[in-house]
Order: sequence, then C-alpha cells, then structure tokens
Amino acid sequence: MSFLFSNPGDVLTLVIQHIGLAVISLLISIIIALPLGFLLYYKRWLTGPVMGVLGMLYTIPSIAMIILLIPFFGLNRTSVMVALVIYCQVILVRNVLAGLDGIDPAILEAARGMGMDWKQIAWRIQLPLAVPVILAGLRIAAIAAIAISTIGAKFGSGGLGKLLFDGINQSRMDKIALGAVLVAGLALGVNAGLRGVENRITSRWAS
Amino acid sequence: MTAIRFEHISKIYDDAEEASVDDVSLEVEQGSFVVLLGPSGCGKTTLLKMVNRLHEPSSGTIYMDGVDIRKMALTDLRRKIGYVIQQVGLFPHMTVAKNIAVVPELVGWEQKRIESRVDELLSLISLDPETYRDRYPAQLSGGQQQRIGLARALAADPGVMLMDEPFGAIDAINREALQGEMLFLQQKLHKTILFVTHDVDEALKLADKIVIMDEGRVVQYAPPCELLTAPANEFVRSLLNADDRIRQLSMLKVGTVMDALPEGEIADDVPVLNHDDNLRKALTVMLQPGIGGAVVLQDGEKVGWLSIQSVQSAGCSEAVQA
Repeated sequence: MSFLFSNPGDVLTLVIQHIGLAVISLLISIIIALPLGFLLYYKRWLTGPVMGVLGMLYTIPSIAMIILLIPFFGLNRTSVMVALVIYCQVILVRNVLAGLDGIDPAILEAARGMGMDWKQIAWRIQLPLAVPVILAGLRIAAIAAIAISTIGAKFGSGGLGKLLFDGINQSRMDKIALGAVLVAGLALGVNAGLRGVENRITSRWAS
Repeated sequence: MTAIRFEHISKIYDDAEEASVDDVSLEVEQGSFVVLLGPSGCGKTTLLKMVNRLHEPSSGTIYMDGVDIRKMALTDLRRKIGYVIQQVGLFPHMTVAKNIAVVPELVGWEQKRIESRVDELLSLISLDPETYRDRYPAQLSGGQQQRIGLARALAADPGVMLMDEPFGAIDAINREALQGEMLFLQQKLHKTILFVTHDVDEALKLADKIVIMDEGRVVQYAPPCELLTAPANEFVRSLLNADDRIRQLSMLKVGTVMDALPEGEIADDVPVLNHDDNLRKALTVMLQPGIGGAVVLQDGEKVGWLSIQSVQSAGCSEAVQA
C-alpha cells in the first residue's frame, strides 16, 4: 500500500479514468440497447439473428477484440470503448427484451384501451416496468466493463490496469496488490449499489 | 337515442376458418346497461373490443353517437371510452391516484382538477381517499383493485363504458358486492355500458337488455324478463334455464303487478312487502300457511295489495310497462 500513500493523486486519477471509461461505455451501450431491445420485442423474427450475432461477438476474447478494432479506431481509448460497448450489447439487449416480455399483457391492453399511443406506453409503462430486469443486466454489464477496462490499460486507455501492468513490469508487488484490490473493490461496490437500487424499486411496487 | 350502432359487423381472424363474429347488427341506447352473454368463444369479447378498436372488424361499421369510429383518431376514441378488463391491468409502478389520473392526464386536465376528481371517484367506490390514494396496487385486495380499475375507467367521465368480464376473477362474496355497487353507480351516472359476461345470474341482475350470442351471431336481444318468458329458441331457453319460474319471478317487481288496496280495514297480521321487492321474495312471504296476500308499502305508505294469484299470473308485460 506504500504506493497509495506516496502517490494518492496518481492513484485517484487512475480510478477516475477507470470509472470514466466504464461509465461512458455503459451509457453508450444502454442508449443503443434500449431501442434495439424494443425493436426485437416488436419484430420477433429479428431476435434470432441479432442475438446470434451479438452472442458470437461476445465469445471473442477481449484482447483479440480490441486488437481487431485498432485498425478502425487507433491504438487508444476509443478502441477499448467500442469493444466494451459490443460486449455489453448481448447482456443489455437480452435483459431489455426479458424485461419487456415480463410485463403482464393485461397491463399493456389496459394502457392501449385507455388511449395511450405507443410512445406513451413505451415511456410510461414498458420502460419503468422493465427497469428492474434492465438494471439486473446493467449490473452484470457494469462488472464486465470494469473487468475489461483493466485490460484496456494495455491499449492506452489508462485506468487501474496501468497500475497492474506497471507493477508486473517493475516487479512492484505493492502496485499489483493495490491495483487488484481497487479493481475488485470497484466491481463489488458497483454490484452492491445497483442491487440496492433494484431492490428499492421492486419492494415499493410489491408488498 | 342510439349511442352505439353495430352495422353488419363480422370478424374473421387471420388463422381461423369460421367467423368469430358473424354479421351482427345492434343498437345500444344511450344510458342503457347492455350485457353481452354467451358461452366461451361465442364472439362476445371480440364484439366488445371492436368498439374501442383493439380488434378491427373484417367488415361492417360501428357508429358511436352517429359517427363512424374509424373516422375518429384512435387515441381520442379510446380516451372517450372507459375500459375495464377481468385482469384489471392496474399499472403496478403507479399509486392508486396515479392510476386513476391516467386518462385525465392524457387529455390534459389541470393538476388541481385531477386531484379532486381522484378523491371524488375514490369516495364514489367507497374507498377512503386519505387511506388509499398513495397505495400501490399490490397493497390492495382483488376486489379493491377492480374498484380502482372501475374508477380509473370512469376518471375522464366517458359516455361509454366497455367492461370485459370485470368481476370474473373475484370471489363470490365480493362479486355480489361489486354487482350491487355497479347498479348503484349506474343509477347515478347513466353511462352507456357494454358488459361481457358468461354468468347468467350476473347478466339478469345487471342488464337493462341482454344480447345473447352463440357462434358469432346474436340469437336474441331483449330485456331479461322477456328472455325468460319468451326465449327465442331452445338455446336461449336452456342457457338461461328460462323455465325456472322462480328465476322469472326474481326479475319482476312487486310494484308492477300489485292491485289497488281492498276496501275496508286490513288486519294487522297481514304481511308487508316493499314496492321494489321482487316477486321471488313476495312468493317466499306468501308461502307461509294461511296467507292470501300482502300489503305493499312505498315510502312507508300503503299503496297496494298483492295477492298470490297476481304472483302466479305475473308475466313480463308488466315488467315492460314498468
């Protein structure tokens, strides 16, 4: 831990870089996954092909994926971010779809019968009711994003991975230990936080 | 005045060979409570859901207040129609007040007006606004949920209500109570109601007129009493168990068949009936030994005399006059 105490500012920068990369990637991912999920919900025949492709992309190891993207986006943060967004899609789209499918058809019939148009139904009924399931997906995606962001350090995206890789190169156990603890802590913290939000929402509706 | 007119409505689903609804023409009077009654698959729900265009007819036209419903904007049409379904379909992420406020919000009422309307409706369905306004649907019993469903459908004061087996999933005791409240509400509100059920007793109890359906066709469209005393065919007769004289009597009111008070004093021990009691109750009273008739009261005044012979000969012509 000596590194932390001698360089608190540097460590903080790395943590912020790490979180920043994960959060921005997740935001972009959810912005893509929500409409995509709705599209698949209404166009069932697209579900097989789209989920198939996303699933296939998911099986590519993250280092290979980032390397594949370098020719398009350069050896930098962007390639790592694009890789993260691609990984998150399969998790998020699947959960958006599951969230929408889980809504009682009677609720949707009532909404239509009362004269809501499809946008109002999507925004006021489907999205809020799917939120618990979407959040569960977001939680898994967030943990994946934190993990893959670590590897991103190899490709110039900064973050806590830098601490780990520097530590390995310099045989500095303190850096390795600190990096590992912080990455794990971050993942655990995000997991607990999002689970808390999920529970709060669902417990309010059902009791 | 005709509120809803079905003109040669047919519906054949894409994957079906037979028509679900087969050339139905009907007129529903403004302010009348019309029940669509028939066995499962007779087309009653399909017919109902064509009024708010959740289903589209394959041919024919439906008019609401004289206007072809396809000429209205779909959302406008639906916002003018109260819709209640068996599964209730309350929005679980919204409070009771928010659920009731949905249509008023859609049509742009002011917040103040919405709040007072929510409280007014909760009182109307005998739920204390203070207690229930901020609850979530999951915190209510089935009967309470359907009351909220009813309040939600009434919220923007629609002229027409469509009710698809609204009490079908509710236990017998609560169902009776809700039917009673429904009648009470209708006396106050005079909505044009289309109400689907397969429960014969419910239909007889609630309806001004009943549409009997079988295999997509209207078999008979008449007031309950007429259906019982003059069923159009064997299907109606057996569906309603129309020969059951007790059932017929339960549709008739004492006030419509009573005679004038006899001359002279009436003994103190003669039984008393109320003007709006039904004849089934009258019969029960008269089955006591030694009873030949009863005094009929209206608002505490003696207004008539009911003899057992009048009960025996009572038919539907009297009910129609009433």
